[in-house]
Amino acid sequence: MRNRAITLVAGSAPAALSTLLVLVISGLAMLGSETTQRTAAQMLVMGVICVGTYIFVGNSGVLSFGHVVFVAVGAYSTALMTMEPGLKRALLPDLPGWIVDLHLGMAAALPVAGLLALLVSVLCSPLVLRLDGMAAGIASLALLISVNVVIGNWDQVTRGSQGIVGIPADLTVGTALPWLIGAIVLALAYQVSASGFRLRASREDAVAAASLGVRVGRERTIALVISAFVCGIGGGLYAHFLGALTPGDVSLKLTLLALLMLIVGGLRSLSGAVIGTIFISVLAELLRRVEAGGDFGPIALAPHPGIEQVVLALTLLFTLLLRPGGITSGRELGHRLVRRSSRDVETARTEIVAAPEPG
Amino acid sequence: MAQNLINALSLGSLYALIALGIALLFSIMGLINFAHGELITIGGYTLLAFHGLPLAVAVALTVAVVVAAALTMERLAFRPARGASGETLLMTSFALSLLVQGGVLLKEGADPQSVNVLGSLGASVDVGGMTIGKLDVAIIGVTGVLLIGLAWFLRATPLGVQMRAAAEDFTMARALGVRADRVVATAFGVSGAFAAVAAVFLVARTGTLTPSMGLTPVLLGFVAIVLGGLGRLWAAAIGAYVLALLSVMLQAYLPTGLAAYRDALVYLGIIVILLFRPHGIAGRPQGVRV
Repeated sequence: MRNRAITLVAGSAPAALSTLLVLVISGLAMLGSETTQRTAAQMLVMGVICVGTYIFVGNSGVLSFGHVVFVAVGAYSTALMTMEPGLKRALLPDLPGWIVDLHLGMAAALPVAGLLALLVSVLCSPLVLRLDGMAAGIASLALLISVNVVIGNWDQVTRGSQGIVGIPADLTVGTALPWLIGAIVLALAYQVSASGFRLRASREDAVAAASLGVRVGRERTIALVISAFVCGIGGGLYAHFLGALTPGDVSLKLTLLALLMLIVGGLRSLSGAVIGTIFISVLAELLRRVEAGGDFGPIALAPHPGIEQVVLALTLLFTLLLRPGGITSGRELGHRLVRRSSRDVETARTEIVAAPEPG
Repeated sequence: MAQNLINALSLGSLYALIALGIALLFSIMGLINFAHGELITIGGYTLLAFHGLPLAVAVALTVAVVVAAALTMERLAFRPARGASGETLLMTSFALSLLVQGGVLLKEGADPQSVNVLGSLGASVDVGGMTIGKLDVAIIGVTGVLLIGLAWFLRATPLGVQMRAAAEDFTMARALGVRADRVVATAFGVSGAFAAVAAVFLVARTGTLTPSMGLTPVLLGFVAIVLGGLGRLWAAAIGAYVLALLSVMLQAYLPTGLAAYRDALVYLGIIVILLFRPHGIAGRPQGVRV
């Protein structure tokens, strides 16, 4: 009993430490200029999207380009719930009356947006049930593109490629932070649940896990649904960060940015998702400033659009080549704590490894 | 109807060039090369740089530059990553794709640029009441020659036979003495050459260049490969022609309200195929890997 309590406390260390890290960075950003604060808010939004994507991709090991679909659902549905009814009537005259009259605050709209994304993920679940590896990658990419085409043409609801404007752009570090912390807690709760362990077992070896009675499809669906919920909320935050939405905001570009953050941080741990988001956000902001040009003390720079993309691409490339596990390489923050507390498990594992191979 | 067929054949040839370039690498090393689109971009901008030279010279230089770019990608990024999982390779190719796009953006700026490579190819001829663009004829003809050339190369030369062996079973081929580096580098070279030719035709058709111009072609290439069946070389070419036929027919006969959703339908179709016929329309299922 006592051991279990220690394991629980130590097991929540990654969430606690990740949260602490986010808090410190956000606190530092609060001291900075308005631009810095806006970047920090964007970082928190990306954090929610990355943690959401991590819940599925990290635990299942199935690469998904499709999670931006859930972000898109969350973003557009939040926009439709929180915009001024008068503005909605003017921009989207063909919208059903009850949607036009809906006027929620962001905090009330986000869980609804998450649930809508969750519903969409249930429709998508056959994809993860039947496919893995490359086929899953291509299928999720195809899903992303078709949803993007639909968003770009569904004039009655999304205003097509013109996009929606006039979403309250009121997201601040303070209002975004609780959602990211919530996402981290939810991700950890799933990760240490029985389903999370079973899913990670199937990630390491799907056939072996299945032979031990793990129903891979079921566990993947559970992770997908939770993951979509978080991504939907992330999408809603994103809409309130941007203030305007076009199909291009929820396209392959966003997918790649989220995957870049996850891979550089470390795809196989929650701490990796958080650290990657922070690292890439800070790097990208610095690069944007270089790209825009200007005077940096003794050095004067001309504007060079493209530098951000080149450096971020090189970061991804070098990560993949030199440290494929990312910054965290599958470890969680505070993993030493966990190891110390579960020494019994370690001992047992050593015995199993030391036992002679049968036959 | 016949007009549509010619269009489909021309479009299909373009898709086939792209799809084969991708399928070649996929069948040999399990790499889904997203950066193939950027090879096309490099080809497009090279063509712009050599604009003014005689067309044949410009095309030859373009092929040379793109092949060099493909070989560089192989040497610097994919060779160190060889043996990694398919997902890692895919992300490596994404990184390369972003890198080249960023580089082009840095050098050429984001604004679209136009280039006219057509010259006399812009004209069209009347055959039995149909208007056939000379460009369409050139695309169909050149692609035909290249496909036959590739088939000959794969059947009749030692390197080609080694490539087929590697595509069948890479590990086994290596064990039997096939030199992996040489085979993979050759595959990248051929893939680059196909990308260069595709770039020339693509630019000739559209006349515009942007840093992200490679995205749509590479996605269509993937679609063609999935249609034909993952990992089978010639099936990719068949898939390309089927895809072109589908999209031309959908364009021609879809009610106007739905025409805008054509691409969505095509990509949803891909998902359905992957779900129910993961080895392509005409594919043969392979044994379950345990």
